[in-house]
This record gives sequence, structure tokens and C-alpha cells, in this order.
Amino acid sequence: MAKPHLCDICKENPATVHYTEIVNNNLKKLNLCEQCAREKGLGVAAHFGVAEILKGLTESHQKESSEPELTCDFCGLSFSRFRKVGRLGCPHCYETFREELEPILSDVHKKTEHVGKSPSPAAMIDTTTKHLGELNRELVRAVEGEEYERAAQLRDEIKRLEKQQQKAGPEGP
Amino acid sequence: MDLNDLVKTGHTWMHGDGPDADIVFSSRVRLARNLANSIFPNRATPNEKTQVLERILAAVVQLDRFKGGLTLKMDEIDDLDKQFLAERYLVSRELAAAGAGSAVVIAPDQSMSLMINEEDHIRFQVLLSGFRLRDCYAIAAEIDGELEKRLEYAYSPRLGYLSACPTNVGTGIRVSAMLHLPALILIRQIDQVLQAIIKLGLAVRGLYGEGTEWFGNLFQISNQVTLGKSEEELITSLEKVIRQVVQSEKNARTSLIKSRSEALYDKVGRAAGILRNAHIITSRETIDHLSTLRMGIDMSLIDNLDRQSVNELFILTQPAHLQKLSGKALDASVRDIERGSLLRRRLQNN
Repeated sequence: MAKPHLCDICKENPATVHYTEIVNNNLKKLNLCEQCAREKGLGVAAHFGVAEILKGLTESHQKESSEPELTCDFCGLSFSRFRKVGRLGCPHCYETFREELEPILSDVHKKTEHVGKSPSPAAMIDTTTKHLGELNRELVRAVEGEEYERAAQLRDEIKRLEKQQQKAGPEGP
Repeated sequence: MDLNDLVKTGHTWMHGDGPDADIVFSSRVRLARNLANSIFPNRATPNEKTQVLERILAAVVQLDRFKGGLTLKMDEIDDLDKQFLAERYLVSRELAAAGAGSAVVIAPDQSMSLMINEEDHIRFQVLLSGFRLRDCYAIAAEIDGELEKRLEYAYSPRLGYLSACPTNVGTGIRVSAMLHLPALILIRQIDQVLQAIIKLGLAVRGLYGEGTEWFGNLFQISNQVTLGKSEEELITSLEKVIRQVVQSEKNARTSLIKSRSEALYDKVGRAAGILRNAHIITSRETIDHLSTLRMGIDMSLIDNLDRQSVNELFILTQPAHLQKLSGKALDASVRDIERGSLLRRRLQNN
């Protein structure tokens, strides 16, 4: 056997954890030391390499642009940060980055729209209504407290949910 | 029930029963769910995580399926316990690495576990012995329905269940099965089979080992896509592929018994000999021989041994399990001795 490989990440310790994943016909091999592997949360059940794969994918879809960077109002995540970590910050990111995510979804899943189980319509409408109530109360508090930026955010969120509810109609989505 | 009770009790999937259990060790369905209007765990502050944790826990304790189970907060258990849970597949390595704000709820028979604040707010799995994907999904869907009555999920009619990583969005489902394929490896057809699985858009990986150097002969096959296909379609296509792989392994076993039966008996006998008599044995060597022993049992090449005992040994001989069983921390070289002693005790009388 050849001399032991060094860890692909720290390049210092001998690689004792060898990891292979096959994604979309590509074989990806990583040799890591125990410490780096642990830091990566690597194990049988870990979904490793997703960030790397997404990074590769989004890079190829990146548009040349000098516009200010798109950032999610709800959680503050920027798209470039998403590219680095491969994780979105909150459910609203899917709307914020809708256009940017579309080619990624299409690469990963070959489809861009959900088919399959949905929460029961009753549960959906009920919870949306409940949530709208909470948001409206919070809006009143924000206006009273003169937190106008927060109030504007809440107003947009309420509008969005109301529109969604109307679209869903009495039959549910 | 506390964590130390888990050490003594077997996991239902260790029973080695269910359809095609001679090849399909276990079936698993995992669903990823998030709460509406809540920051995902990777971006949440400790405070936000704790709030989400409390909301989810309050809902989960009401579920019949988890009654009498065990709730463990990750900042309240030590590293050895975390590793122990990961070796049992009750938590992922990612959850084991998490701290305050993350937890797992484990059903009494350990066939179900629900992780809170892993990559997503909620990830729960149903893991059963044998080829039973549909049974797993039926239970998972029931739990999902009960949770949805109590929690508002992040869901979009266009994209389905919203997940922290876009690779899980849509159904949020990962359906997988653990297959034992020693005969396909012996007749050197494994690469063709694995390539065929990958071509069909499914993911496959060795449970142990690296690249082309698998060991333990155990493979996990799962869906990759979660968006644009229904749960039913995903399960059906995985079932079809698994059925074909099971048939290939069966054919390989039949051809081996016809052409190389002496060599096969020899291999199984040697594996049993080593496991019953070794005093110092590594985890890898153990897994290799246990795999051979399981094949021997499944092909009726060896008497007086049952699947469940061998299945249990796959888990009990792992590092954290050995340490939990002996009640103290042991370094690798001492573990190899302890492992030998455990195997001799468990296998010598039968």
C-alpha cells in the first residue's frame, strides 16, 4: 500500500475517514482526518457534499450583474451566502430567491413544481387565518411603537398571506 | 425509560424479520418538515431555536406513537451517549454534533425517532426490519397528519414542504432500504448493479468503507429527487429497483451454492471460527465476518445461529456500544479486546 493520505481539508493529519458519495452519476471521494470529519458532521446518515454540489450548480447559473445583492427580508440571508452554505435561512427564502432557485431545483430534481401530499386544506386555512390574526396584532403594536420598518414588513407579509388564502379559495389549495 | 434502558433493549429492526429479510435488512422512511415563519436551524439564534424546540416538543408529547418514549436534549447528554444514539441510527451524525436547542424523541420500540433542529426543524424516521417501505410510509404519514394538526408547517402549494436545503423540498421524503449483497460481491457483479441503480436516478452508498472498497457488504439505496414526484411514485420506483436487486442477489447466491459450495462453507466456517475465538478484533474485521455469518445463516450454511443475534452484534460491537456496555470509556486498543470478549461470550454457546 502507498503511504497514508493526508486529510483533504486540514492537509495535516492522516486521513482515516474515507467517504464516497454518488450524486447524479458523479463519484465524489473525500479522505478526511477524524477531527475534520466530525466537524463536517460526517457519518452514515449525513448528507455531505450538498453545499459543494449546490455551489457548483449555482455558479454555472450565476448571472453577471452589478445590481445590489438580493437578500431575504425575513431572515437576512443573501444569495451569495446561500451559495456558500447550501442552506436557505427560512421558508420565505424560496419566494425571495424564486428566480435564482429555479435552475437549481430543475438540476437537482428535474422538476420545479410539487406533486404529492399537502397539509389537509382545513389545517392550512385554519393556521393561515390564525397566523394572520397574530400578524395583524403585531402590526398594530409596531405602528404604536413607531417601528415603521417592521410595520412595513408585517404589512407585506399580511398581504402575501391574504393573497395566498384567496388563491386557495374555499376548496383549499 | 431512560437512555441506559436502550442499551439493553433491542431495536425492532434488529429482529431480522419481515419480507425478504434475508437480503433487505431494513426499510426506512424519513420526512423533513419545518415550521411556517420560523428561521431554519442553521440561521436561527439560540433563543429562536429553543422556542421552536419547545413548540415542537409540546406537540410531539401528545402523539400516541411516542407515548412512553424518551426525549433527549442534545446539550444534556454527553458525547458518548450521542455517538451511541448515532450507532443505533436513532439520530444522525449531524444532530449528534448539535448542542443546545436540538433534541430527539424516541418511540419506546425505537422504530421511530424524531429529531428537532437538525438541518430542518423536524426530521422523523420510521425504520422497520425487512422490505417494508409502505409500512414505514403509512406510519410516517400518520405521524405527519397528527403533527400538522398541532403545528403550522412551512408549505407552499407550488413547492410543497419547504426545507432548509433545496435538495429536500417538495415531499421532503427520503425512502431507503439497507441491502446485504455479499454474493453479488463474491461473483464480482456488484459494480454493474450499482451503476444500474445510479443510472435510474437513485442514490446508493456503502454503509461501511470507501469507494470501490466497501466492507460489510451493506448498501443503502434511496431516492434523490423529492420534488415533482409524489410519495407514491417515489416509493413505487424504489420498490421496483430494490426488487430487481434482491432478485440479482438471490441468483448470485444460487449460482455460488451450485459452483462453489465448498468454498462457501469454508468462508462461513472461518468467519464463525474467528468471531468465536478471537481475543483482539477490530471493528472492521468484525463487520466483515458478521456479514459472512449473516450470509451463512440466510443460505442455511450454518446451524444454531439466528439472524437476530448476528444483527445485534453489528450494533453492539460498535465503539460507543462497547463503552456503554462496559460502563466506562475505553480507548481503541482496549475496545478491540472488549469486542473479542463480547463476541466470544455471545457466540461460543451456539
